[in-house]
Amino acid sequence: MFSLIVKRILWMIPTLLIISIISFIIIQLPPGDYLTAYISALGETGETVDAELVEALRNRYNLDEPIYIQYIRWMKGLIKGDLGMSFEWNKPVKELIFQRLLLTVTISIATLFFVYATAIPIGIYSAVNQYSWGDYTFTFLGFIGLAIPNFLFALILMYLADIVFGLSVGGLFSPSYQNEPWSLGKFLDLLGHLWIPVIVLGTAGTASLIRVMRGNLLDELRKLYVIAARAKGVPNVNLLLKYPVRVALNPVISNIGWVLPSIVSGSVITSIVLGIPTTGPLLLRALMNQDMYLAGSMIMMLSVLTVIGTLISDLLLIWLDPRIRYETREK
Amino acid sequence: MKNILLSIQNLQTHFFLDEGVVRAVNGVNLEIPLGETMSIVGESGCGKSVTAFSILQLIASPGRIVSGEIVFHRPNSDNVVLTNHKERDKRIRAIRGSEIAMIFQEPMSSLSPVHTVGNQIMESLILHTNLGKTEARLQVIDMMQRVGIPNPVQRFNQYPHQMSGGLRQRAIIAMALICRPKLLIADEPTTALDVTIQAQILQLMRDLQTEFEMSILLITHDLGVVAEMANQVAVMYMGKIVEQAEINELLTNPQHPYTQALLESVPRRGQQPKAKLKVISGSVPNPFEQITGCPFHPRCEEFSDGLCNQGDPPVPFQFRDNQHVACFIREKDKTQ
Ligand SMILES: Nc1ncnc2c1ncn2[C@@H]1O[C@H](COP(=O)(O)OP(=O)(O)O)[C@@H](O)[C@H]1O
Ligand SMILES: [Mg+2]
Repeated sequence: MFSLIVKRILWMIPTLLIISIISFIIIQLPPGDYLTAYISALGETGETVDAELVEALRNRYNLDEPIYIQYIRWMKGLIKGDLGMSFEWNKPVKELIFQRLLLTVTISIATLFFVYATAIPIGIYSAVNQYSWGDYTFTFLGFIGLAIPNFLFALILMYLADIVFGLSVGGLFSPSYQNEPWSLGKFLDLLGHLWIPVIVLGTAGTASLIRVMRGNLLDELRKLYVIAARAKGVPNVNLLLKYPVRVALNPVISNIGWVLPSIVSGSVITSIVLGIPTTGPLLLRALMNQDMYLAGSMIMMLSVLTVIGTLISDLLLIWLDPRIRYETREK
Repeated sequence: MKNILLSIQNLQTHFFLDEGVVRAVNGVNLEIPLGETMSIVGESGCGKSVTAFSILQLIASPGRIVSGEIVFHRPNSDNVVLTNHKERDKRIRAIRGSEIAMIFQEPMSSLSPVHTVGNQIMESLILHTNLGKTEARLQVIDMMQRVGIPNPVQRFNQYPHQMSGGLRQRAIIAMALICRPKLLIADEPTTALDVTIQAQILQLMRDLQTEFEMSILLITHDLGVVAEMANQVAVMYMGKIVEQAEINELLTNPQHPYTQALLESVPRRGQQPKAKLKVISGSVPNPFEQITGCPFHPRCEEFSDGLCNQGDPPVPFQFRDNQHVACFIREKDKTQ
């Protein structure tokens, strides 16, 4: 089992390498670079640009070198923990994204918990009470949750929070806590704001996971080992949790692999609508301005997060399912 | 008069589907004698498994026991009318796995894939006795040894997929017998196994039956297995018992045309190797159908118009001392 885990972790290296190459290519894909974008932006406002200054900048950031040299330079920095400079902000990328990355991680993890904490019990309920009113209601709500675009959902929730509950919405803190140091009050304030993005981001994932959980459990409930356990006299609830739910959970757990990326990428638009300083809005801006190192580093960091998320789900699965654990060992 | 452990009276278990009602069990009467093996045989789909599930009240929607009474005559204790209890009743749960245990057809799927075999065998013991974990574990290992699982201490912690089909079936037998039940219901216990292992498992069941003094309700479509195991045989067709007799009587002197056809459809010892086996003409009718008269008449070789296809289905009558037959023709012959 140990070698299985080590192997699994080593596999992350080529995965990340490929992601880094692809993200670098994507960033380079639009014609021109940061400076041409900058010059044309200035041109639109009627200002002229000093050609010499542009040339100096171009040299400073090595923008004339071939792409692969730039890539290698960037990778070398990454390995040393140097994410490069942001052209637009003229600051080290690390400084710019650290806070935001932390927020993104907080929101993503909170959302993940929300998704699993609601989807699993509802999925179990719906499977056990198949075709009941409750089952139909959750199915209906789930389809609505899947169908509403996140930005619209965010607007609706903001409206409700503002009008019905009288909460200050937008951002993650009330104005009074915005620049305060951390305290219990600030933490509670954070929780009070966190639920809107969490619900917005989590609903679609919850809806589809409910379907997965319900479907799996329905399949398991019909299996002979469940009847065999009932024939042993195991009480109903214990039986449900010990056998079919346990087995039905495996595919749900392995879904962390796609739930997490969808939360992270979904958070871009949602954060913009809700005015939350996650990586999302910054990333969008960096991409539009071709702020190469900033955009590249953020894509890279988010990919690392997702890859780690997938790793966690795989490890959970190895721990949960003896068939996976032993099969790989016996091979 | 023999001591009866379990009696089934006029059991009717139906499934209510959108397409219609399946009368899976349609008026079964059966008595399982203490310490003996009663076998139910019949083609697949005739209602054998549903009868077994009905005994333990394991029938789930859309199925329901529509009528009938199943009484468990516990030795040295009070009788329990099993049919008076719902699927989830405590009373029935206390009986399941401890006094009446059941083993199922597929050794592959009747064990949970994500729990160790030891854990699954131990579960009934923990549930139905006050034993602590350590003591229970010892008893499980003992039982695993008893049913012929080598290295029980190591096997205790193995998962089902790490065992062969034969070992898994032994584990299932251990799981059923761990609380020393009075009645073991075995639903096609050897169908999925190959012949040598099948013989071993049957031998094991016979040994354990004597040792534990239990009754076995053996469900199978394999007359070879019946011949080896049963004291009494009930032949089932379309949810009804059409013939019931002591084993030798049934094998040498079958009366119901369906039983005769069944027996002729399997090879027998001493038979010419190339002798043609008989195939029962026609096929099992559609389960929604209700046939007037004798349910077997559309496939019967002795069908007599006006007698077999009229009125209610035939009721079993006593043909000989230990042989009951539900057939209009035999009944007519006998009374004439
Ligand atoms: N859960 C169920 N739902 C609907 N029909 C069922 C169900 N279980 C059994 N039946 C029907 O009842 C009849 C008898 O089935 P069964 O007792 O399993 O046959 P067998 O004699 O092969 O064990 C069959 O026609 C089968 O289709
Ligand atoms: Mg069956």
